Amino acid sequence: MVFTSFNFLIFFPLLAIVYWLTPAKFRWLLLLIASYFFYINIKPVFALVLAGVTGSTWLFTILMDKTTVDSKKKRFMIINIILILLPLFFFKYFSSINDGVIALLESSHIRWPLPEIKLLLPIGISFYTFMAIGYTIDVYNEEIEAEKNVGIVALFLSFFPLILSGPIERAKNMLPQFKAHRNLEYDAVVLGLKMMLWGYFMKLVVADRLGMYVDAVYGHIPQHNGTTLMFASILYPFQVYADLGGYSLIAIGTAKILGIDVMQNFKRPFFATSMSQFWRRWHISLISWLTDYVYTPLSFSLRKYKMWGIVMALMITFFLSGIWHGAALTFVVWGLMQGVFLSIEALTNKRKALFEKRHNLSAKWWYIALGICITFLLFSSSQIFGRAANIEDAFVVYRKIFTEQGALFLDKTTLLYGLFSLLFLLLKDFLDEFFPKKYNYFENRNIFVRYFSYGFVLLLILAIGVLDGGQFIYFQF
Amino acid sequence: MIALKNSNKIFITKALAFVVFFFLIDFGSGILFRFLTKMALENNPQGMIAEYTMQEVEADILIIGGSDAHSSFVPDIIEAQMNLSCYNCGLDGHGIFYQCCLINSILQRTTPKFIIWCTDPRFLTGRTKGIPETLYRFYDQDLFVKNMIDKIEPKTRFLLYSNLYCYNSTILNILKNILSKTNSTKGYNSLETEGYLFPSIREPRMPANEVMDVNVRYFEDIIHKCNDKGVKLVMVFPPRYEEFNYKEGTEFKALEKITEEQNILFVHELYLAPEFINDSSMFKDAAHVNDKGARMFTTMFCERIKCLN
Repeated sequence: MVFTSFNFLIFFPLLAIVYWLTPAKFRWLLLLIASYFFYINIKPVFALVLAGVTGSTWLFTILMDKTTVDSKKKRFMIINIILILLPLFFFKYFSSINDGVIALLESSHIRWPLPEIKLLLPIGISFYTFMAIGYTIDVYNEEIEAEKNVGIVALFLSFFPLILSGPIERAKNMLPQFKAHRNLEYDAVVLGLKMMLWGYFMKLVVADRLGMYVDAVYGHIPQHNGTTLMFASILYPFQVYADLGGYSLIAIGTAKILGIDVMQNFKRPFFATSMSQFWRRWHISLISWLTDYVYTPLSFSLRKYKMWGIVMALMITFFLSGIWHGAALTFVVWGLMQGVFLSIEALTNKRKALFEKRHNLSAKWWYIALGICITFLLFSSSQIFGRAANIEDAFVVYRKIFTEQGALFLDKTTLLYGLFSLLFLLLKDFLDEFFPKKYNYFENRNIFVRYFSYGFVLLLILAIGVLDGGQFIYFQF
Repeated sequence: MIALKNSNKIFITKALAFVVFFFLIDFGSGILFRFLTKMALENNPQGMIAEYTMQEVEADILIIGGSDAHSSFVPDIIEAQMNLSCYNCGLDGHGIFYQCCLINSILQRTTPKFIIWCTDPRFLTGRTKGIPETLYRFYDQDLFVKNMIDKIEPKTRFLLYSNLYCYNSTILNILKNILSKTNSTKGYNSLETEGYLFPSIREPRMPANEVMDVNVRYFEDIIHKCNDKGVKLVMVFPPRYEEFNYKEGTEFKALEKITEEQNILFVHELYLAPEFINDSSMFKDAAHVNDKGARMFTTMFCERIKCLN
């Protein structure tokens, strides 16, 4: 079951009603049953992997909590992280590594005993694995006590709004909320509904419409010229933003209606004026996870190398971010490109700040616009590796962009709907970014403006949304 | 258990008010869209392809199919060669389900002499997408469409309670046809290009696609309906600029078997005809001939079917 399916439109309102009618002390149990039902609905066998990760996490965090010997505690943490990572490695990376080994050995005429294995990736595994690792490290660092109730741990890892594509939440935020006895709050429910509505708009109207064009171009790279490929490559980051950003808003809104606060995942990323700012606004839950559990410990241990230690930490962190997205060279290059961009910024940061101060640039609109454009171009150029099916295709796209200009492939209807809706989304982000709280539509005091805004967005979804149950991009990760 | 506090009562009242407000807007939008569609159909029938071909078209020869039909058959040439009236009912991106509904609707209104059904080897496979949204607008008007949607996509009927949803993605087309009028080409979509830049796509064998029972059932049903009304059905593959041995595919064999059993003329030899496959100047892209290719193909096709007239 996915958020855009018809089943979810029946499932969620029913669950919300039953949830708020259920006595507070049993609500976590209802949510756990609902979460597993939601997950099993996709493919039942995947729930076994989830249950295995849950069992291991619960057991070893309890053991860590009970022991007072540091070395033992560390051993439990390492064993648990290895156990948690095993399914991820097996399902996500084993096939690629095996294929690589086969190809390498075959080139030397040596036969590898294992044949090609194509495994179906349990949906959401990258997300709940990171959540489980984060919880394990938090217990080890004594930032949170180990949860005794295995059901609550199971709910944390399987919570249906988050399990398929995040946000990658932290145990210290979620566990207390699952146990808290909350009352139904009118404002929270309304806010949740507004978030869901805007999330559906982003996904169904913007992402899926742009996706029709991008898929048509990237699906037939040899048939398209550089102009078309460049245009599709410019649209792709917007598609991902609307897709994952939309999904995240629906997830956050869904949780909000159930009285649970979930962290923000996107914050108007295309108005960032530098790559470092961009990564504080894009897929925030993943980057903050990587910052807390990879970058910070790494840069601390590499501090003797000063600035180069930071550069190494950045490169390793974004290399891992690339690998997290998939076991393909394209994602490795994608991650390393982010690392390079951020490292250059880190190395030139002081000089840039001085230059900006000397010429009083920070407040000038054209300087902000220039920063926004450069940041977008850098990110969209890296996204070519994120979108291309393989590294060869990505290089073909780059080659064509620089050498094969021509007429733009125009799928007029798709593009007009897509660009209109994108403009609408960016206009809202622009107003929120530069004129916060000045232009309110969903939050307007006037009930007619508010209702008209809800109705207008709903009508846009019905009139130009792509309602054929398309998948979310991040389900593949 | 929660007691209904004042704030909850307000919430429920507002939610109900919003639902009513939304249904009113949806209902009003539906009426507006119906009116605009009618206006567009009156102003530029050829632009409102689905409405015109489902509800109004009449000719001795009707061409049915997707984008390949739309841009491969020139009705003027067929009319000149066959001495019969012709209309091209091709609609881009629409597969077997839409085409079955279209033929059924045509047969309920009129009896053409020929129906030329233009398709490709993947006609009976799952590659064909599900029910196209275009058909949603005919859900309440056409029992065949209704039964098909209810059978293949049972949940869609709930979405179709929305008056606006059935007009999804149509607003631009409607406005375009209200504001402008195109010269009639009898449904033919002329692709004016100098030729196709790229080498033909060569694959040893087309990717295997499973033949879908539901596609076969609807196809056979339409064949029977054509036979009952004495309409001659001709299946045809228009030229492609991609080489593969389509005759080995199970999809093709299934289609060939049905046409043989039902005694239907099946013209597929022009699909990879040397006149086309060796001449990129005939194509707009790998799957569509340009105007030059269409004229040549239509002429060759007429020669092939003259014996039926």
